[in-house]
Amino acid sequence: MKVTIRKWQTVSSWHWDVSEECCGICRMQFDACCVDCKMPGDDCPPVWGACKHAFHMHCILKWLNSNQQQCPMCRSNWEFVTTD
Amino acid sequence: MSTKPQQKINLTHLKNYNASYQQADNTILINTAWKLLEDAIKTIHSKNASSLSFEELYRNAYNVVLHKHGEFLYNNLKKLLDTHLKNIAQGVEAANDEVFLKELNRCWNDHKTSMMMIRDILMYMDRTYVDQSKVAPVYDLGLNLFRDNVIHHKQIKDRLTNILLEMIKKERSGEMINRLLIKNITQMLIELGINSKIVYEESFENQFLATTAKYYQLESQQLISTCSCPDYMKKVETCLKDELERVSLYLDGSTESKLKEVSEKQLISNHMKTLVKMENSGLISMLTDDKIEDLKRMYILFTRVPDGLNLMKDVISKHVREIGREIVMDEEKTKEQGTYFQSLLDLKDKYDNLHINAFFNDKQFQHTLHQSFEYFINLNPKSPEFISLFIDEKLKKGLKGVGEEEVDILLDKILMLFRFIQEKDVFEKYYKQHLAKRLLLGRSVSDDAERNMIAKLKTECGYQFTSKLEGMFTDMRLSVDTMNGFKQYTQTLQSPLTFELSVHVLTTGFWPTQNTAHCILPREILHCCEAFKSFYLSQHNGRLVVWQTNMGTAEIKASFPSKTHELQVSTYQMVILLLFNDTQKIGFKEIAETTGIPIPDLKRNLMALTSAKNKILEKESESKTIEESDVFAFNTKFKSKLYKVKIMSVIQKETPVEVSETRHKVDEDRKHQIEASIVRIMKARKTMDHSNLISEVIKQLSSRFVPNPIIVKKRIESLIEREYLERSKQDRKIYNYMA
Ligand SMILES: [Zn+2]
Ligand SMILES: [Zn+2]
Ligand SMILES: [Zn+2]
Repeated sequence: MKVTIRKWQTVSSWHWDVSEECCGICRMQFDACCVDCKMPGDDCPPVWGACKHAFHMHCILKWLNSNQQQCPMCRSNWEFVTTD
Repeated sequence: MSTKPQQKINLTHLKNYNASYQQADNTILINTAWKLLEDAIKTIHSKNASSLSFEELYRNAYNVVLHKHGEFLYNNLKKLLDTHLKNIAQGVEAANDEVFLKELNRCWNDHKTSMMMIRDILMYMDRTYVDQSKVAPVYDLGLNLFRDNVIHHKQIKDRLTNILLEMIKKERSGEMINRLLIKNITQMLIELGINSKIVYEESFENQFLATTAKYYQLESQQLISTCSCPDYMKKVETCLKDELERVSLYLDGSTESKLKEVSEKQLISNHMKTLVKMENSGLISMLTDDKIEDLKRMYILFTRVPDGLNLMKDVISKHVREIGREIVMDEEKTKEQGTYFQSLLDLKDKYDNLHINAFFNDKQFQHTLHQSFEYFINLNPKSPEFISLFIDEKLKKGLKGVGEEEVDILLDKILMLFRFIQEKDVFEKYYKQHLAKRLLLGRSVSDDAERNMIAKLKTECGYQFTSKLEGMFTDMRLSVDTMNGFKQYTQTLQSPLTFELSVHVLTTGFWPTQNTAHCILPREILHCCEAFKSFYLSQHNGRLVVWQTNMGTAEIKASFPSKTHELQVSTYQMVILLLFNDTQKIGFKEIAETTGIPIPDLKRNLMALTSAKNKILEKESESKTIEESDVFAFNTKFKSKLYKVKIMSVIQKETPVEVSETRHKVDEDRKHQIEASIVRIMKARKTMDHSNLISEVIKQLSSRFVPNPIIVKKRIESLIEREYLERSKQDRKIYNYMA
C-alpha cells in the first residue's frame, strides 16, 4: 500500500515574535495594531529599546517626535535595538 | 314748545316753572304714547301687524325715551310681555304629549317674530336707555321672559326634557322620529341662553348625557354577554357612528365631545379588559389568526379611550414573549438552526405585517414588539451562534434556486433579528469561525455576497466590529501574492518540493487560530513547510509562523490492489494515512502518540476514514464508535467507481469543551474591552465617581455586549493595582486617572 501527497492546501498563522502582550504606550495587544493602523503589518512591527521595553513602531515614533527622548515606561534614554 | 325766557326773570324760578309745565304736559303725552304702543304690541301678538304704521310707533317710542321716560317704557313693556307669555305658557302646558313640542315650537317662532318687530319699534330705547342703564336689550328681554315664563314653567320644564329624551330613545331603538322638530327645539334652547349654553345644558344636555350613560351601560352588558369580541366591536362602531350622526342632525355641536366620552366609557372602557381576554375571539386569537380588520377595529376603538392602547400593548407584548420563548426554548427546533430561525423570521414577518396593516405603524407598538423580541431572543444563549450559522448557510456555495437578490432580502431580515442580540461579541466569534471556513475551503457563494454582508454589519455595529472580519479578506488577498512569490522561489531550490504546496497565511487575532501546533507533521511534509517558512520570513521580519493543521485539505494518491484513487482528505486524515506507508496495522493509541492529533479530532477523522461509504481503513472491532482499543489497517478491498474520492469529514459540532473555550475567550476579550473603556473614559475625565464610571462603561460597550457591573468593578480594582487609577484620598468612591 502506498500513499503519496499530490497537493496540500494548508493554513498557517503568523504573529509577532514578542513576549510582551501589550504595547506600553497604546495598551493594545501586539496581535492587534496601534491606533493608527488598520491591520498589523511590516509598517508597524514591535520595536525594542535598550531597556527591553517593547512598543509599536508608530507609537514610539510618535512619542519620540514629541521631543521625549526617554522610554515612556522606565525613563531611561531611548535607544533602538534590532532583533535580528 | 320752546319759550324765550325774559332776561330779568329769576333764573331759578324760571327753571322750576318750566319743569312743572313740562311734567304736566309730558304725562299726558307719554300715557298717550304708551297706550298706542301697548295696543300695537297686542296687535303684533295677535298677528295683525300689517295694519300698523311703523313710522308712527317709532316716533312715539322715540318721544317717550327722549323725554327721559325710558324706564317707564321699559318696565311697561316687560309687564306686558310677562303677561303675554304667561298666557302662552298655559297654552303649551295644555297641549298633549303628541303635539307638545310642535306647540312649543310654534309659540317660540311667533315669539321671535313678535320680538323682532317690537325691537324695531323700540330701537331708540335700545340705543339710549338700554345702553345707559345696562339692562337687557329689548330682544334679549323677550328671550329671558320666554325662558322664565315658558321653558322654566313648572309644568313645562321636565316635560320638555322627558319628551326629548323619549324621542331619542325611540330613535335608538329604530323608530323614525321628527328630527327637524328636535333640531328646532335644541336650537331654541341654545338661543335662549343668549351668550351661553346654560339653558340647553340645564334643560336637555345634562339629562341626555346621564340617560345615554345608563342606556349604553345596559346595552353593552347585554351585548358583551352574547357577542364575540369582533361582533361586539362592530356593534360598538355602529353605536358610536349613530351618536355622532345624532349630534350633526339635531343636537348642538358642543355635545359631540361629551357624548363621545360618555358612550365610549360605557361601550369601550368598561369592557375592554373583558374584550381583550375573550376566549376564542379576543385579542390573542385575532393575533394568532391574523385578523387584520378586527385588529384594526380594536386599535381604532381603543385609541379613543384612556389606557386602551396600553392594554393592547401589554397583551401583545406578553403574547409575543410567550410565543418567542416557546420557539427559542424548543429543544427540537433549536437542534436545527434552520427551522429555529425560520420560525423567528416568520414571527417577525407576521408582526411587522400586523404593525403596518393593523396598527397604523404606531411607533409605540413597534417599540413594544422590539422589546419583546429582544427579551426572548436573548433567553437562549445560543442565539448569536444560530444567527451566524443561518447566515453561513445562506452564503455557502450551492444554495439551490435562490437568487442573489433573494438572499440579500433574507440577510436584511436576519439583520433585524441580529439587532436584538445583546451579546454581539459572541456573534462575532462565531461569525469569524464560519467565515474562516467559507474562505479557507473556498465555499463562499461569492466575494460580493460576503462583502455585502460585512458592509451590512458595519452599518449596524460600526467599523470596530468588522475591522477584523475585513482583515480576513485582506489576508486572503495577500496569500495569493505570497503564493505567487513562493512558486518562483521554489524553482530556485536545490531539492524541489515533493508535492504542490499552497498556504494561506493568516494574521493571528483576525482568525480563529491558535498559537500552538496541533499535530506532529511527518518529515517529508516538514521539509516543505520549512521551505515555505524561510521564504516567508525572508520577506517579513520579526514574525513567527504556526501551522494550523486542524484546517486545510490535501489531495493524495492511494494505490489499492484493484485501482489507484485520488483521495480528497483533511490535513489530519493525510497525516493518519501516511502512517500506513510504513506499517500494516496500527492501534489507536499509537496513532495518537505518533501524530499528536487531539483525541476528539482524531476520533472524528478516523470515523470518516472507516465510514461505510468510503471505507479507506478497516477497523477490527464492530463497534460503531471509535474506541481507544481499536486497531486499524488499510482496506485492501476498497472499491469505488470514481477515480476521485472525497472523504467527508464528520460534521463537527462544538464539543462541550469547545463551547466553554469559546465562552472563556469571549470573557477574556470582554475584560480587555472593559479595561480599555475605563482607561478611555478616565483619560478624558481625569476624575469620576464609581457609579458614574460604571454606567458610562456600560453605555460605551452596550453595542457589543452588556457588561456585568461586578466585572466592571473588578477591572477598576485591577487597574488601581496596576496604577492606572487611584482612589481619591478625600472620597474612596472617587477615582483619579494617573498619567
Ligand atoms: Zn502601541
Ligand atoms: Zn501602527
Ligand atoms: Zn524602558
